[in-house]
Amino acid sequence: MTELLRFRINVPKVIHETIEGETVLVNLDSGNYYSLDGVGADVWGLLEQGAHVGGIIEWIADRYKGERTDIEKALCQLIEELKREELIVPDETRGSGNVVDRDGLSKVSPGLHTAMFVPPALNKYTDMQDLLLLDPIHDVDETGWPSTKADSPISEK
Amino acid sequence: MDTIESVEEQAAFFQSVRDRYLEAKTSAGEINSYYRICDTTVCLSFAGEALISHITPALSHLRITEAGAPDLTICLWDSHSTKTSMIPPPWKRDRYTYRGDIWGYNSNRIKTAFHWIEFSLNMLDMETNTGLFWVEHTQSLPFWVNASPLRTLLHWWLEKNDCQLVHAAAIGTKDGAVLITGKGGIGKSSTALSCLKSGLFYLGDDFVVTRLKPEPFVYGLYNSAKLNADHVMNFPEFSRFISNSEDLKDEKAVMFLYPEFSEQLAAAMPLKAIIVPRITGEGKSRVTQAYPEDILRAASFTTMTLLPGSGIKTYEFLSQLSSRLPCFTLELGRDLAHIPATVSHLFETLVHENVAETSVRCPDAGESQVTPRTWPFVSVIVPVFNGERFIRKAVENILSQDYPSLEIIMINDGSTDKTEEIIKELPLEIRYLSQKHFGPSAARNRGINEAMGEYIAFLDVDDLWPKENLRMLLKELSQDRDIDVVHGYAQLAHYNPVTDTYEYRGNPAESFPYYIGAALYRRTAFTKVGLFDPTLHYGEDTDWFTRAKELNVTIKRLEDVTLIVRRHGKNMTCGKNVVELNQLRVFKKTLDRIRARE
Repeated sequence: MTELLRFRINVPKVIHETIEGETVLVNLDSGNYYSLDGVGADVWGLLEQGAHVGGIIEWIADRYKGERTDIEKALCQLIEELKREELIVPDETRGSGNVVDRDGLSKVSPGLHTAMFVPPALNKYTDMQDLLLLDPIHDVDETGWPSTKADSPISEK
Repeated sequence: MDTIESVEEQAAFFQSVRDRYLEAKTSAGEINSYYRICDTTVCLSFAGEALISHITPALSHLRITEAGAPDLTICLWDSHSTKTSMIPPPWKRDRYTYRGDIWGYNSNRIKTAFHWIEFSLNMLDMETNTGLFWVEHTQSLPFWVNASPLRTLLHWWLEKNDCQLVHAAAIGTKDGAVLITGKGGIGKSSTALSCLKSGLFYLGDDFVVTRLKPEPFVYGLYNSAKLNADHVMNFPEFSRFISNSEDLKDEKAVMFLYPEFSEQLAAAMPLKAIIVPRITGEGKSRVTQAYPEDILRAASFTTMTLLPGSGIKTYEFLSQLSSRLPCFTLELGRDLAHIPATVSHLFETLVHENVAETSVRCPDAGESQVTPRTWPFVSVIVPVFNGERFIRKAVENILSQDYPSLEIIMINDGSTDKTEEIIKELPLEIRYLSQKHFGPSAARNRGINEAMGEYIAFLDVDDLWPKENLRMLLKELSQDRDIDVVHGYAQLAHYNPVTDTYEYRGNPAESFPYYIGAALYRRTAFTKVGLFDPTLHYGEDTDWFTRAKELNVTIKRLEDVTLIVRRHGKNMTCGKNVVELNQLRVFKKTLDRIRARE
């Protein structure tokens, strides 16, 4: 993964909120819920601020105790996973350079090398659709009409 | 989500779609056929031939030779065979609903629906009496929909003509007909076909048309019959009429009864009674009298969840119909041959005893009926925050439930308007509590703590309960000690400032499933699950029901509308998005609970 790659949160498909240090997310298209805590929640906060991959690794490595290569590997895996779940998408609109508000984040995060690095995990919950009480989301084809190729949301009456 | 496109925009889209039809007609040719449907002449104008074999067989018994100017013209085409592409829809994908309604594209003039079953677009211009029916490809039409083609368009058209399409079967004798209604799978088709087999008149097994004036009447619309594949063997004599024998694995068997049964296919008959079947598993069938309100619930819920655009008009029509006719339960036994005899016997009783004109309305006493002596005490909790406009109506609504054993607890949640003054002026005894503004959860919790009833119900001050709601919910709860909560669905009603009325919108079965006011709770449900989370100003409903499910509390879902939610711009939940509605917070709380248990 190129260190200068930058991602953005896949809004409006994805809604997210960080509560008591845990980030909770929903992909409205799939109805899947996710949670991230610890390092994962930090990474999400950095992504939200528009940090590029290299900047994220740098920031985490500064704050957590651990082998640099382990950190790099774990973070790249997490970002890959977030991408695969369509929670983030490549952002080509921003210029280069790191735009992270380091001061803002440091207020809510551990200080330099104060905590052990624990590889972040993206927890996925596929059985929480009951909580997602939006109108049904239907698949439409390129013309905008529902397509027979998509699964019909209803069976025979 | 709630934005309504202007009638002009709707009409402009209708016109553009119609232009596509005209192009399809130029390309593939026009084929017209005429039908006499409930005293109106309907012209089906096909562009090309592809749709004809899907649409016309079920209507063939109503076909007439070419007429003058028809009352309604429906233009039908598919893009594939006519090589005419469709214009893209002007709405966003979130406007589609399961029932078919397209949010924002329905008005008094233009009706619009998209059916997932058929992948069909249905539009009707009530001003020009022109309908449009389009599919991309006829392959998207499953065979069984051929049994009741164009039902949405015909529903709109018939409603305009003071008739109502009902999800019901109808059969008759020389003395008149009975309507057999209720949700799918309860025995409508089996009853109708066994009666047809024994020589009775047949008007339909799935959808029939009813009329109220001058007297209740039923019209046959489709000459089809549908049977589940596993029921086909019960009617071997009809198997040669099955038109989709090859597809019975995936589809219901569809039979067309015209022309073979022409003499038994009745066009229209006076209605003598309404029946809801119930499969008992006993040997013989029997008829028992039923409450009109139970029959109304059975007929209206199933009809309204199947017909886009149906609302208060449909409900009121069915309400009148059920109050004007004797109502019965047909307890269906296993012996199919006994059903026609039971129904014929009912006709004889109706004619000889003239039941229709007497006021026999109540079922026989006994069998876990809630009688006045056993009415348990119900506490109705009404949280109010700045609800001065709605208080009187809410109290009126509770009293109109005509439930003799209840208390009303009103909790003023720190209102800054005249809420307190109005509650204190009410000419009846209300338990009034007042608190600082802590939110609806805290207010409801205070009510629960104060409640004296064995059963607890909540009504938000701007919502309403349907007629007889409390008795019905109580009957359900009192019949089974194992059930802790019984709840139904909510019907949304939007305020129309032009007519100063609330109009029903959307399909109740697609409403938010956890309206606190749509349920009746055993008091003990709150000792099991706990109170509402007062830190949640929104989402406390989902949170409570999620907790209840996690604790295996028994919640019974009824296929009924048990709450009318009025939207008037000031509702607390109006215009909030998913984040504001706290779904993510409810999710976080759920996660925390799961972890605490691990």
